Amino acid sequence: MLVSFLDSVKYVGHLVPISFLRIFLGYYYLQSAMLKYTSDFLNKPKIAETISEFLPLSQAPEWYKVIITAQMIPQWQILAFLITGFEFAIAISYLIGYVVRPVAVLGVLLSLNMIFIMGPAYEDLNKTFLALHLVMAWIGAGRCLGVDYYFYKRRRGIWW
Amino acid sequence: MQHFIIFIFSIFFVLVLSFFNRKAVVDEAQKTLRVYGYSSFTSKLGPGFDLKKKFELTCNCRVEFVEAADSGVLLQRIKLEGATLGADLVIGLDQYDLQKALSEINWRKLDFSQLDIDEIIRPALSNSYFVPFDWGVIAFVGRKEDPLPAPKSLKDLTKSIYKNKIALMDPRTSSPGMQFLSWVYDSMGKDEGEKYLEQIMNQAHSFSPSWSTAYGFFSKRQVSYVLSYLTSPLYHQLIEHNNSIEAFTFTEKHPIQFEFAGIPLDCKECTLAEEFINLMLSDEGQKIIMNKNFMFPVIKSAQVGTPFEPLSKFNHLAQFKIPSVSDVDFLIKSWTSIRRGEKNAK
Amino acid sequence: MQNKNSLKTFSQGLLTFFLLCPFLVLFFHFKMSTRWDWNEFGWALKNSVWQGLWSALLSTSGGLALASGLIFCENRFSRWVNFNIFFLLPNFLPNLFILIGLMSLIDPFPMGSVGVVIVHAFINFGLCGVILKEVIKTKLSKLSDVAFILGAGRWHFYSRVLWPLIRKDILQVFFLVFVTAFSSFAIPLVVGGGKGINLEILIFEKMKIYNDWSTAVVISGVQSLLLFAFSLANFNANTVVDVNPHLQSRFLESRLSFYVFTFLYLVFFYSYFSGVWEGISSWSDFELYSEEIVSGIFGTLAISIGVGCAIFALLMVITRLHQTNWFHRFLNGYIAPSTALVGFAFLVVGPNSSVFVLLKIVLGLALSYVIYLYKMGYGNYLIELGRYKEKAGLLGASESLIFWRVLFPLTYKRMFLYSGIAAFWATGDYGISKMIANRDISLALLSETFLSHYRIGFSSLLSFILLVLGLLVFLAFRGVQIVVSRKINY
Repeated sequence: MLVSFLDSVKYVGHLVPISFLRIFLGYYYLQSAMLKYTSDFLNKPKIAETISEFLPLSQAPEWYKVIITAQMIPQWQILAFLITGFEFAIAISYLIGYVVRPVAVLGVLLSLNMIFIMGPAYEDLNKTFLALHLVMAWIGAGRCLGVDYYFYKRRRGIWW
Repeated sequence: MQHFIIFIFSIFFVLVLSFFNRKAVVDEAQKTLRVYGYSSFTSKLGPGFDLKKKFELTCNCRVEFVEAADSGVLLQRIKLEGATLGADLVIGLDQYDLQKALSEINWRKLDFSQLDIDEIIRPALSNSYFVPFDWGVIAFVGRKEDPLPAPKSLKDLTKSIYKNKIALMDPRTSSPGMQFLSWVYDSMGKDEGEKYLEQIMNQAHSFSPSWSTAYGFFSKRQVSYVLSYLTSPLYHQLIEHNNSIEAFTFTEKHPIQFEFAGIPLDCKECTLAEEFINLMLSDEGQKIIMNKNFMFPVIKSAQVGTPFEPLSKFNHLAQFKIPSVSDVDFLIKSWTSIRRGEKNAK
Repeated sequence: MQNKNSLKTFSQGLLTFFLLCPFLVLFFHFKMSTRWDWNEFGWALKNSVWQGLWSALLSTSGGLALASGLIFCENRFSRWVNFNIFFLLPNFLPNLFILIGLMSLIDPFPMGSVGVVIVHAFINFGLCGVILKEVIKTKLSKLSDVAFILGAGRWHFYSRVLWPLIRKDILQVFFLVFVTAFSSFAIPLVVGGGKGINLEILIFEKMKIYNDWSTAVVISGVQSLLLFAFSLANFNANTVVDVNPHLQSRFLESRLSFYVFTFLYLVFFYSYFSGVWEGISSWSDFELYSEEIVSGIFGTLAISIGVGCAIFALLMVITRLHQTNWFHRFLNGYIAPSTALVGFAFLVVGPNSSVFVLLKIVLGLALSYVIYLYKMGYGNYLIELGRYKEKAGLLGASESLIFWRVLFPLTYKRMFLYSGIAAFWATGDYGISKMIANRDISLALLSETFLSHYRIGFSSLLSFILLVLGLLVFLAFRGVQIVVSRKINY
């Protein structure tokens, strides 16, 4: 696997710049996830308060607002866990370049949700992340300087 | 796809595990009051939930309830966890548990002699370590529309018309069951009491392990009468709007059951524990306990103007005393010997 | 080779140690006292044996009759509905609802030891019937056709063919129910209480009334030793693995049995479901306590899935390490201590917070169930597979290869079935959870809390939700088994 990791620069070297972007994104998400984990994000209903404040004013469709308000706000702790878990998943996946494509799709979904629930202050940032995740998914950024190249060599297919 | 699923699953698994094992992210200033009790008190259905919410608003602390199945497990748990995690307050012991509790654990002395309580309750304050927070009167409960004539005394229960119609509790596992034994011996004496119990063995429908099982039989009309509390019909009146349930007054004086709270000597948050007891004994706290437990409050003013007030004037009550170890021993041994006298098959 | 054998023996020892750990923990935790009342012990033992014997006799006889009814049902209706689950349901319902159902069935209900026997028998009819049906299916299906063709009469067939061939299986089922009834606690406490104390109740009495945990542990140990001694009698039946048993046989099926038992069970379930229906009318309570109920559902699922996975892992380990030596004898004879003691043993060991509570409940339940499941037929099945192991060994296969390529493909279906059954049982666990948990983490505990607050209707509804959850988890395990079977067959 290590050999494949190094080989990837030779065979998919055109993806090296995007790999750096991927690793940087991974590091950003890792910081964000660690901050959520070590603070009281998982213990106190801050996410519920944020959603209550910003979701009604967002551009989200009505059905989405109803679902989030009725189901997610009462179960805020599950939502907090999901957000933190997905951020960790994106972080680790991007850092080591493993299952980057499907995780990038996950990142797209996460960013979309964040656009609606985090408020205008974070809207542009989340839109940028949305675009970046889309690019990661499209290119298959894990193949260069990542574990994905090992599987890509052997299995090909849409997942790698 | 497999890799992705396993990857996500692993991330969440590690996250959940590490979350549950990290030190709680709480304010350094926020203390935790650990309260041990039974689920009937600590659950949302019981008064504990509301008392906890009220207390946490003012105390700048967290209240953590720890449940136990029964008094034996409760006391063992306190011994196991008290030194490390802290056991600050114990709630729900009845008078039959007190001597056992005193022999297993050391308790702080409490002084609530200045409480504005009924004289009937004052004997419950005679010990220095536990304070009562509610009380009930043991009585048989039945339906008004039952075709059988209402029993008027304990002796009536041995009549053939009541055969297999009475649900009792096993005194080994249930406090009301123990109360019943005590009731029999206090009103009839030792010899008569034993003869009576031998008759009741064949007469009763069942001796259930808990009050809830016996009451379940009554609710499902498997039996006509069940040993319960004077206030049980109030639940049906106030919650179910059903006035058909009534409690019977017997010629023998009815026993009283108290529930006590105590503070172990090794408490970590002893002041908070005392404050919690103060809340329980305040007017507001007593109302919460009364409405959730359907038991009488110990503070006089709490029941004024409520449906509990007229019932609390019931004065055909036995003298209350905290049973000693030898009293409890006697009750259990007599029950055991009467049991052993029975054959296997009916 | 010697090293591998030593490792195997060591692993067997470790597993044995795990199964014995509740006793060991309690023996070390409590100083053993010398308070012992032989009269009391003898009297409780007499009651235990009496209740165990009669319960087993009634269950086995009824089970045999039900088995023929189930065969009739499978021949006619198996395309549409699986009646096995219907008859096994009483095994999973909480005791109070079984009693209420039975009291509707038998009025007046005889409390006392007779009542205890009736309840045990009713609970175990289904289990005995299903097990014996499978035995009859695999051993007698073709023989019954041959007997019929040769002109044998029904009773001739039963006495000369059926009984000699399956008597060991019947005795095994008898022993299984005997062990269950002997060490039963909740039913004698409710139904026999005051009239039929048995050893389990004596143990509980020592703990609750006298706070005499050391004597309770000793009595529990003696009980386990006694049952172990009973198990040394060789009931090992020979299991024939017939892949496509043929069931159409007039000797094996009985229409009358099927209709009689179905009627009895329907009356029983009518009473239970009318309680559930009553509970639906207290729907407003559901909204009020939705948070606790949802949390209880997650807790129940966590416990049941955890137990299912733990049982699967334990069965895999047992299969890997199985030998027809002391190990099999131990597993066949050992009885886990009472749930109260198992719960307390796990309470004493390790921290009692957050995920450790769930882990302890899962391990405690897995420990209690794995032995029972082993006795339910898994042990004998492993004995039968011994010949395949031997053949593979002679051909030079390693232990690991034998396990993965020979044993696992033959046993995984049963492992998943038993894991599903254990997961189903775990949804309704009250005893061990109550001991270890700090609060009402599962629906079973919540149901009991509601019961103690006059809300019997709502408690019935929660018990029904428990059943549904149990069924879902059981089906999930079946689903995983189907996926694994595709992988194995591929």
